[in-house]
Amino acid sequence: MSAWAGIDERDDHYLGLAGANVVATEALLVLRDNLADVLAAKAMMCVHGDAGLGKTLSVNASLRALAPADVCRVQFRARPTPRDIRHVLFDALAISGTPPARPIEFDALLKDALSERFRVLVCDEAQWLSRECFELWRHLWDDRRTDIAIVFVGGGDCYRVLRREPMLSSRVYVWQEFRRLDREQVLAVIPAYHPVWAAADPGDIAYADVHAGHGNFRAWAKITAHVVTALARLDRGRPDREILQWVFSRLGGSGG
Amino acid sequence: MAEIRVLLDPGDDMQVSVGLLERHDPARGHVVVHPTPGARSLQAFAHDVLGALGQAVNRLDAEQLAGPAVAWRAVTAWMVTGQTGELVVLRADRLRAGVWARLLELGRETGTRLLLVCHAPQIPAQLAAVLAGTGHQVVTGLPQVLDSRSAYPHPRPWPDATAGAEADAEDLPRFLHPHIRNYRTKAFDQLGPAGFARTDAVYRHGREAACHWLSTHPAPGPAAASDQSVQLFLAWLVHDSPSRTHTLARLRGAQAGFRLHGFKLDIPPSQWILDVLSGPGLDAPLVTTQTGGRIRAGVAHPVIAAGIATVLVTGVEPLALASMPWEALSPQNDALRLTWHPPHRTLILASQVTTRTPATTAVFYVPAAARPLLQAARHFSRSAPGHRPAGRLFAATPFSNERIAAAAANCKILLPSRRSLQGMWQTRVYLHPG
Repeated sequence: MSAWAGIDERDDHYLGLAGANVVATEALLVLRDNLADVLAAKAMMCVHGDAGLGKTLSVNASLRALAPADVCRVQFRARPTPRDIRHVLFDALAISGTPPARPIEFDALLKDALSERFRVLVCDEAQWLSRECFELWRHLWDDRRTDIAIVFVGGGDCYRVLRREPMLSSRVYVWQEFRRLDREQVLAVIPAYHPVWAAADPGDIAYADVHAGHGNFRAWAKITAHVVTALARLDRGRPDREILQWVFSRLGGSGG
Repeated sequence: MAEIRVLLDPGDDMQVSVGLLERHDPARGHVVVHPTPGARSLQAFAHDVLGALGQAVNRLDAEQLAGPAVAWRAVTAWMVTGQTGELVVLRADRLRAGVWARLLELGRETGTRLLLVCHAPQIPAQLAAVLAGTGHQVVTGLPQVLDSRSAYPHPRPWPDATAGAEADAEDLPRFLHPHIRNYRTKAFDQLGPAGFARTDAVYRHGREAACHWLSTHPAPGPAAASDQSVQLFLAWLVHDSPSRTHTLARLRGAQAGFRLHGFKLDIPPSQWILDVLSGPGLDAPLVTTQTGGRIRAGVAHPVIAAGIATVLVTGVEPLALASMPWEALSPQNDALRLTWHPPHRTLILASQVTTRTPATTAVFYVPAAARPLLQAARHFSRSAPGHRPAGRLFAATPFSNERIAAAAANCKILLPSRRSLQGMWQTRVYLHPG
């Protein structure tokens, strides 16, 4: 679990890549508009798509601009139980005292905290949640006193998991899917993503995307980190095919 | 058998749940239960109902309400007292058959209509079996439920705050004239026109109330000195008094009223009332609707809630109330009679006890806002296994000074300092035939 308040912009980037920029991709711009609507409606939203496409980064960056003081972000690495979620929220909301033993007492405490002021609850890796867990989120959201919007973010089969729950289908205000960048988008976005690509040959960027990037931001973050290392060691100004070949060899991908 | 309906919500539509939750209004007898996710036991659901009824659920262990039997008894007591007309249960399709069976029993016991909301295309088979023979109706769509609900009369809301306090709540000027003769003349001389006008308005209120009471009640008998009905009237007269000086003026007015009807009413000396004695209208907090609401929101156990209300009304410490018999509470829950036998000696053998000193009896008027709490306690205690009608009001309950104080603290209510019955003004009231 992590609370959003402790995450700065650099932490948003995979590997904490120094020098990386948040690029205004079409998906991010759409997300920001969607989140603004969801926050205004105090609704639920689902952001889904394969791993590495920038969902979490985009949500964090957007909420940092839209509601910097209101976000409470929780994340689960394994299959959590409702009890896990209660405890994670207890910590993330900085509720004082000892967590109650009874679920009804626990929920009453959470509802009290969530009714004090508006909050955006961001639940990352939502594909891991069970029906009982979704019931808890729905329970908190349906309560008349609570003042919340909920953003589910998930990879893999998150969409399928959430869609099969009628309770969420009728409550999720916006569904947004993140997809891989196509080649044209890669050529437009990557030079702005990191300074090492600013002067790169578009052919080399396309070459890197074909062999290792695959329109995936997380893959591009790895490539970029290795390119930064290579340029420093070789004292060169911009990547070329030779450097990219070396990077591919470290990534275990095809070296052409 | 109260009406049972099942609302099918196959799409688990947000509008259904939110629409029903928006109509949650326990004060008007419409209660919506939103079960806690992941807690499916019989007792967990009883706690959910308690929470929906507006009771605190954060001290269930401390109040010894954790067990299913005792929790359901508390649910029944509060529902009967609160005149719950309809109980709506969301997510009912996720509950166990045993919970449904207990819900049907609750509906029978309390006469409450049930609306079980299944967020599914049909009632799950094991739950449908529980409904066999109940004559239940299956409905679809929120409008159908809401339209039919409007056909039912609304139960009355919980009683409002006690009326009767003067608009003029500022302290009246001190006026210590020791008796009722020449009271108004002396008051005018001593207080001047403005002070007299204020004091006289309160005095006349007491006089008219006494005249009305005497004309609508049987005349006090020859043993008037012990007539507790007079105490009750006077306690009622001053229970919502805004200050000691108001209380004194009301009592002086009552004296005048009794005098007009041929009775001599003795009350304690003025200075004692203003500075020394305790009791209703002097230092007892007024139990208002707001107070009653805070008690309900801070306590789930009916007897503990009644205990806090009783301590507020009487000012007597909880431990002294623990042995109070049922007869101390009037059948309408509007009067409490506390009796105390002061001991002759500090240590005495039981075999030597042949006579007792005269008992001190103090009568207290119970404001309307406190009565539902006492009524719930009465229902709860009577539903206990092995209940004895002649038993104690607060029997079989975790009832100690510390526990009541802790429960009151959870209600954010400050209990009054402990007082003895002998220091209460109403125990020093005497009525003589004129």
